[in-house]
Amino acid sequence: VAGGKVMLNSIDNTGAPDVPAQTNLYVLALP
Amino acid sequence: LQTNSDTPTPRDRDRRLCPPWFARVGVLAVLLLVGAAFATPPAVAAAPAAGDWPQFGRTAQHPNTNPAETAFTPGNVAGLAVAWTGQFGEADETEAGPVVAGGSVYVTGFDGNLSVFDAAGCGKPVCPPRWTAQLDNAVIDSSVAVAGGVAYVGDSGGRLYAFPAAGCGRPICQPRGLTQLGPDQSYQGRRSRWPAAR
Repeated sequence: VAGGKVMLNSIDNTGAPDVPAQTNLYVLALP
Repeated sequence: LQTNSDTPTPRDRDRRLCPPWFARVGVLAVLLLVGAAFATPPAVAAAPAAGDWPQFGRTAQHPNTNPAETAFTPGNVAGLAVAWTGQFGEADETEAGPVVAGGSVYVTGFDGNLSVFDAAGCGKPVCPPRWTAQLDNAVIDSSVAVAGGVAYVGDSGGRLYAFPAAGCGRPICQPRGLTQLGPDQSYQGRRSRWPAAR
C-alpha cells in the first residue's frame, strides 16, 4: 500500500491448456 | 619443613599467563567501554517517503504497515478497483511482493527478470514495464529494496545486484554492481550461468 494505491503480484492461470499462466502486477485504487 | 616460595610452580606460571576470571571480565569490560566510546554511531536509515514502500515490509524492521496511508477505511475498501495491470512474465511464477519507491513499482519473477513500472500507470488498462533486467538466468524470489537511489535485488544464485533506481534510460538495463554473497542454489531445475557468463 503506497501512494493511495494497493499493489500486488499474481500468477494468473489462463485456463486454457495451450496458454501458459501469466504473472501480473495489479494496481488498485479507489474510484 | 620449608618450601622454596621463590621457585614458581607450574600452577604459578599458569596464574600469570591466565589471570582469574574476574580479572579477564574486567579487562574485557574496559575494552568494550573504550571501543564503544570511539565507535562510529550506527547509521540510521532514513524513513521511507510517505508514498513509498521501498522494501519487503516497508522498512528494515518490516512493520508491514504504512501509517501515512489514510485513504482506505473499512467503509470504502470494498470499492477498490483495478486501475491498471502490468504483465511481467509468461509461464512464470512470482512470490516476492512489489515495492514502490520514487514513483516506480519494482517486481520480480522466477524467470530471473526484474520489471519496473511507472506507479502512475501509462494511461491504459495494461501497461508495459518502463525497464527490465535479466538477472543471470537465476530465480528471484525476494523483493527489491530501494535506498539512496539504488535498487538492490538478490537471486537464488547467491548474488546481490544493484541498479540505478531510475533505470538506465534504455528498456533493458544491466546491473551496475553485483556481489556473490553465498552458495549458488539450484532452484526448480534452474542453474545459474555464473560465473561462466562473466
